[in-house]
Amino acid sequence: MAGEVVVDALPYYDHGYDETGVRDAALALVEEETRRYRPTKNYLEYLPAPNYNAFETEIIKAEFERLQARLPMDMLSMKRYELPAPPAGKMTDVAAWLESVENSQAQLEHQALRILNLELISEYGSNAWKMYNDTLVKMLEQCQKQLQELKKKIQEINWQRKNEQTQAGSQLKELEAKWVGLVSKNYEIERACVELERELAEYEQKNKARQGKR
Amino acid sequence: MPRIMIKGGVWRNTEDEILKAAVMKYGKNQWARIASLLHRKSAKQCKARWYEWLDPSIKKTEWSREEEEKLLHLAKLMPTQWRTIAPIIGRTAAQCLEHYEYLLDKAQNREESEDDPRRLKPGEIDPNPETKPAKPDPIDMDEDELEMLSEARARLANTQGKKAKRKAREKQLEEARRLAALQKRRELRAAGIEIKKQRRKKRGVDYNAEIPFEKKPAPGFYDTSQESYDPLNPNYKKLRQQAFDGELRAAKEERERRKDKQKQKKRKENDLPGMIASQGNFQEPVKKRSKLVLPAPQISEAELEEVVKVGQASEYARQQAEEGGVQNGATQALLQDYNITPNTAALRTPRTPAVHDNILQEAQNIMALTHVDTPLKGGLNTPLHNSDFSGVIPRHQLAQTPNTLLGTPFRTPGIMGSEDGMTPKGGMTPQQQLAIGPPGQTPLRTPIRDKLNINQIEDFEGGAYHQDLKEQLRRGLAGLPTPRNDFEIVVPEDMNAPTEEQTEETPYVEDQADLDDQTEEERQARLQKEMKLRSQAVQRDLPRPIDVNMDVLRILGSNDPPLTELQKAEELIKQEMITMLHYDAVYSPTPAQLGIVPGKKNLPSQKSVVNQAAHLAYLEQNPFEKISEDDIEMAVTLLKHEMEVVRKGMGHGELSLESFCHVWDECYSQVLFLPSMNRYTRANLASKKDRIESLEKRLENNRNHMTKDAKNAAKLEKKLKILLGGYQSRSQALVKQVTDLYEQLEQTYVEYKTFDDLRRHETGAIPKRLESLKEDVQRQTERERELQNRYSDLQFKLSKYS
Repeated sequence: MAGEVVVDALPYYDHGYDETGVRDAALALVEEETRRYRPTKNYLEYLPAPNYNAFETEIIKAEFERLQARLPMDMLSMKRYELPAPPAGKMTDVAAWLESVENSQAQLEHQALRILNLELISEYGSNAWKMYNDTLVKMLEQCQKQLQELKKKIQEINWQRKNEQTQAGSQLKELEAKWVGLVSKNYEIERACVELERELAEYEQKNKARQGKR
Repeated sequence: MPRIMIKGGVWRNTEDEILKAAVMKYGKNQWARIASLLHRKSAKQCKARWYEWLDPSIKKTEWSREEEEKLLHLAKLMPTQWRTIAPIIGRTAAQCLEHYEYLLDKAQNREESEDDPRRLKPGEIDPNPETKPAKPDPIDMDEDELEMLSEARARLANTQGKKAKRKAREKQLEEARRLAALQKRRELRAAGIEIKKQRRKKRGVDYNAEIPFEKKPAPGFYDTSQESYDPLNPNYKKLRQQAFDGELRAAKEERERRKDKQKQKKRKENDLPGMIASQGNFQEPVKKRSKLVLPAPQISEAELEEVVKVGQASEYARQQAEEGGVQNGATQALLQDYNITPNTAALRTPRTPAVHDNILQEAQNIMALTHVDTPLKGGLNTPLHNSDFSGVIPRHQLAQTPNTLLGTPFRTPGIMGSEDGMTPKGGMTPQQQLAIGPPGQTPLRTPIRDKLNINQIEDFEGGAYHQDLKEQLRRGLAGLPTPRNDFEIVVPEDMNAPTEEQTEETPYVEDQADLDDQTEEERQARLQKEMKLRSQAVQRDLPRPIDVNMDVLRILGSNDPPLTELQKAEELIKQEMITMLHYDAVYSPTPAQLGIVPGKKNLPSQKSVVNQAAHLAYLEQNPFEKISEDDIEMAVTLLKHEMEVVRKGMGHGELSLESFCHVWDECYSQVLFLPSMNRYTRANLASKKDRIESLEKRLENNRNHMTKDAKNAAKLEKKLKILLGGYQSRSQALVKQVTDLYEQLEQTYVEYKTFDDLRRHETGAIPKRLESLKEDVQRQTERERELQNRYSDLQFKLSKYS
């Protein structure tokens, strides 16, 4: 049924879209259509079936569960960064002590790495940031260019549409005028015919009467 | 109708002159009489002219700064009352008004322009010509002017009135009578008749007869009554023509000329700038400068004199002490040299406090007051900037020259103009004075010249001063370069000398650079050779102990068993090792041995110096034997041989680095530091408690390191934040822009697609509509044809009937 409706509106030629009620009517039509429209078949069937569990790991699963339960996220444990001594219960355990010392060494290494990185940043960071910013600027420029092009294209299309429609419009108008002229002319001819017929009938009657008299 | 003459107009020079002369004659009360001399001016105008311009007491000089200040101040207090203000300032009212307007213009930065309403336009009449300078006389004066001039001349030349004339006539008559009487008396006397003077003065002194209040000179030693002057025996020497005529004119002229020349010469010597000015085309500055207003000196004359006196006195005392011949005597210690001003270079150059431009300020205030809106509107008062209404005379401020050179501690700048010193009275301490001192004084005062420490330190800010001195010294010493302990051994060149002499016979002279290179090479080679003789630890630059552990030596007790041969050999090796360690520590110390902690710039610490001394002392006792190269070579081969033997004996090939590392780690884990005993031991010998303690200590150490590093890192991060913050914020902004733009792009793309679709629809729709319309039209035309046919049929039928 939807295919039967031919949209032949020519907005650059036709008038009356701005009148009150027209827009509402159009919207109502759209509303009705959406209410009636039922996607009967799966329109995504050309795509392969999605695998929703492809990236699910244990951690992500746990996280999703947490999100479903609407629990707040655990705070990052900063405990090991404070280089703690072994817990109170294990004060006499050599292994625990060894562990904490090793942790401290690891943290020291981490800190050293951090300082190293910071030093590297201080040497190369400004340049890197500059490069990054330059890239961003370039991207921005490109985007703007693209946008400009698209806008130009839209304008061109609209321009073309207008041209075509006005061209066709003049033709249409001519034809319409011709049609109206013809219709009115026909009407008048018809009326004249009727008149003549009436006159003819009168004459015939008179003739008949005369013939009757004779 | 008589012509009405209106008097007035510009004053001419002749008129001014006449007026002045007339005032001289008639005084300043008979203006109508004066005006009768000047038929173009009225009495009132004459009076105005006198009081506004001609009066010699009127100041026509440039306005001084004080006058301007006063004018603006008074104009503010008594607006528009110029007649009241004028005598206070000492100018005329018109002058005051004019200058006031000029000042206001200046405050508005308005130049004299063409459209100034105060300026006279051509054809306009000056409303008050009395205050303007006179117009010069034309060469060809008008008839009536000439007439006026001659009449005035005649009238003013007649300085005597009626009474004076009568008196003069009487005087003349009396003179004539007196002369006649005299003549008569002479004639009578010649005839022998003595006539007594009829008229005798009743009172007073007859000046012809006696000398009033005469005092006779006291009689001298000699009687002079016999002496007599003979007028008939003149002194001819004094009667020469020369003496009578006086000096000859030519001679006089000559002398004058010489004097003039001398004067000129002197002037030439003294007045060089004047000469330059007179010879070159020097132009006088167009605008005369106003008088230079300088603040009164802070140090009074009396004070200066005192300072000089003190200096002289001390100098005198010194001289005396030195003349006494006692060197290094007690007097010498008590005398100090105050000749040199203490470090003036360190003083800051003082700056006089900026003086507010009062005049401009006041003028602007007045402007603000005059341009105010109607007060009926209400609102705030016009804001005035530090305007003072405190008195009739404007408050005066003078810039003081800050005094830094002679800031003696017991003198304080007192009130301006007080002559007698500025010594504070009472127990005012200088600190208090500093607190209440006048603004604009530099806070840093001159270091006090008190070499004998007479003044107590807390009397002035001396505490700070001494600290300052200390600080200065320290800073000066800090500038010295740190001592570097690198010594270069320079071998005397004499060793090469003989060979060089031999080569000198050849004409070829070697280049100095080549020679230098050669010597350097030799030196290097020698050093290398020396190096080879050193221990392996030095050659490989391995870490070496700071303290040499003497405990490795086995100390023989009295009851110990004697050593075996092997043990003896071991002891010998140990002994040698210790000696080598000491030797190395002295002659090629590692940085750690020097006590230099990496990362910290430090001088060799005290401890390292002590260590060096200890090493040297040990070497004294156990001298280090130098070993020849061959011996070392032999030792190396021996070692190699031994290694081969061991390797064969143990049956293993080359050991990998990993296995070495493994062994090293295991050994290292066995080393345990005991903090309580402050020494290292083997781990498996230590108790559990000790091990825990050691671990705790390590943790503690690590924590310390951690805090230090964390602080470092935080500092670095902060610095980076400052360094890169700008970039970061910029990149953020850029990213936001890019995302926005992408969104826009997407939307636009959708739009584009929609319009494209629409167009496709429309291209389909246009022919369809056209076709349907055409069809309609076709149908209508067909119908028309039909109808026409029918109509013609009918017509035909009808025509048949009719």
